[in-house]
Amino acid sequence: MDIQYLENKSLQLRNDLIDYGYEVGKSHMGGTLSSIDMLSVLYYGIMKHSPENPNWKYRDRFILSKGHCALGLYVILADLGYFSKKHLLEYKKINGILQGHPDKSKTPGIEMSAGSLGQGISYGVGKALGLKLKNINSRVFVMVGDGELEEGQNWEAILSANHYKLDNLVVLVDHNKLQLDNTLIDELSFENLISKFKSFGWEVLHIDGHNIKEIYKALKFSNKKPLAIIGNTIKGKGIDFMENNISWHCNKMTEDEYKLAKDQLKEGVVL
Amino acid sequence: MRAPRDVYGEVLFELGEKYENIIVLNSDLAKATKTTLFEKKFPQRHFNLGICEQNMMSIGGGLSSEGFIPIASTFAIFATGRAYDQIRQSIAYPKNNVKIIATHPGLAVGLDGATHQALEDINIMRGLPNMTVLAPSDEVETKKLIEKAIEYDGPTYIRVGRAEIPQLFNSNTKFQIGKGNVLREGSDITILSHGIMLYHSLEVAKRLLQKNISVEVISMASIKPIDKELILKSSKKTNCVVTIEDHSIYGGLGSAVAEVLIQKNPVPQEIIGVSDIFGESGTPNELFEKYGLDINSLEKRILDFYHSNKY
Repeated sequence: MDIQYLENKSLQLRNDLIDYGYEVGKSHMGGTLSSIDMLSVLYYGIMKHSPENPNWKYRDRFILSKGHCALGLYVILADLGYFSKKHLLEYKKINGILQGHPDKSKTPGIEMSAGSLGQGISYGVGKALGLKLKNINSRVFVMVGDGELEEGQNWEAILSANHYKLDNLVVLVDHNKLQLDNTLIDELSFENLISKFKSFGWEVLHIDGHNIKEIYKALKFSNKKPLAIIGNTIKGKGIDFMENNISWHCNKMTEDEYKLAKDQLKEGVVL
Repeated sequence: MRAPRDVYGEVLFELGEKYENIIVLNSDLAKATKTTLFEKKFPQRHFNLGICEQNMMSIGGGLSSEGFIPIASTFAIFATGRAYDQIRQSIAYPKNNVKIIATHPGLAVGLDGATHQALEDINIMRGLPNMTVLAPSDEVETKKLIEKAIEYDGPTYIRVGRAEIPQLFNSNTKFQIGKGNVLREGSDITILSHGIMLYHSLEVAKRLLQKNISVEVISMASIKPIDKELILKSSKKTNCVVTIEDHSIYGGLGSAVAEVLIQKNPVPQEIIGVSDIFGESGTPNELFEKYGLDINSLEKRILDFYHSNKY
C-alpha cells in the first residue's frame, strides 16, 4: 500500500471535515479529528467493502461505537460514493439521511445504530460470532473512545470476545485522553489500558494513532486472538486551537476560526 | 397443569430444527429459563454468555444484523430493567429481529421477592417503538405465539410465565400477533387478561354466572399491537370492561385497553393489577391473596364495580 496516498487522503478528509463541520454548525470536532487518521487507513487501505453494494456479504464490517464522531465517518462514506456529498450538508437536519449519530436504517454503509456509548464491542462480538457461524472470512472493526471504555458493558464484551476466540474482531481505541467534561479518569491511563486488554486475553498493539504507517502496520497484523489497537491520539489533532482543548468536544467554528483552521491544514503547520 | 416456561423450552427445540438461523442466547439462567433442551440438541447455536444481560442484548443485535434470529432469554426484570438501553439502541431502534423471551414475570415468581418480580416489564417494553409485546397464558398459547413471533420479522418481547396453569385453549385455536381470542362469550362484563390471570378470570366468570352475570373473557396476549377491533366489539356489547393482570396497574394491559376505550368507546373500566408497590417474598397464592389477585378478591372487586356502574 502506498503510504503517501493514505497520508494525502487523511489530509483531504481533515479538510472535508473542517469544511463540512463549518457549514453544518455545531459538531464533535475534537474526537473526530483524533480518530480520522485511523478511520481513513481502515477505509482506504485495509477493509474489503463495496460502496455500490453496501451489504455485500463478504465485506469487512466497521462499527463506530463512539457514534458522536459520525461526521468523520460520513465524510469518508460520501467520498467513497456510498451516498452523494450533498447529503453532508443535511447532517443533523430534519428529513436528512445523516443523523446526529449513526443510524443503520437511514444511511448506506452504516453497520450499527450507535450513540449510546459502550454497546459497539458487544454488537461487534455478535457480528463476529455470526460471521464465524456463516463461515465468512471477514473481519469486524469497532472503534471506541477511551472515555467510552468507562462503560462497564465494554468489559463484558471484551471478556466474551476472548471466550469465543474471536480472532476476526479488532477494536481500535481512540485514546485521546479527554472526554466531554474533563480529562480521562486516572484509572484508564495508557499503560493500564494495555494491561487491562491483555489480562482479558486480547492481543494488544499500541501505536501513534496519527502515524499512517504505524496504523497501517497494526491493521495488517495477523492476530490469533481478538486484537485491540490502542491509538495514542490528540483530541482536535491538526488544528492548534482545537488540540487538547476540552471546549472542542462539540463546538461551532466562527468564520475566523474556520479560516485559521484551513490555513493550518494548507501549511501543514500542526499536522 | 403445565408451566409456560417448560413449554417454551420444548417449542424452542422444535423451532431450532425448522429454522437453521435461530441462535439462543442466555445469561447464566439456561436451567431456569429452560433453554438447556435446545443447548443439548444444538450446542453450536446456543451461547450461554454468563451473567451479562446488557452484553447479551447487544450481541443479539449484532447477530441479527448478520441474518440470524437470536433469542435472548433471561428473567423478565433483568431483560427489561437491566438491559433497557441495549434493547432500545441495539434492537428496537435499528429494527433488529431479536426475540427477547423473558420468564419469571409478576408476583407469580413468589419466593424470590421484589428484586425478581417484574411488575413493570410490559410498561417498559410497550413504550419502545418497533417493539411487539406478547404475554401468552397457557401451554397452547405460549407455543403458538412463540411460533408466530419467530415467523414475524421484527423486535419482539415475549413474557412467559413460570407458574403452572391449566390448559385453557384447545390445540385448534388460531393465534395471531395483534389479535385477541374470546375464550368465553358473555354480555354483561368484558374481562381482558393475559398470563396466569387469564385462568383466574375464567374462574371468576364461572362464579359470576351463578349470580346471573354473563362475562365475556378475552385473552389479550398481544398487548402491542393490541386488538382494537375486538376491544371495541366486546365493550360495545357489555359497556363494562375489566382488565386483570399480574403486572403494575401502570402501563400494562390495563393502560393499553384504556387508551383504546377512551378514544373510541369510553365505557367504565376497572384496571386490576398490582397497585403502585414492589412485591415481596411469599408463595404465589399468598401474594395473590395479599395483593388482591386471587379468585375470591377478584370476584368481589368485579361485583362491586359491576353494581356501581350498571345499576
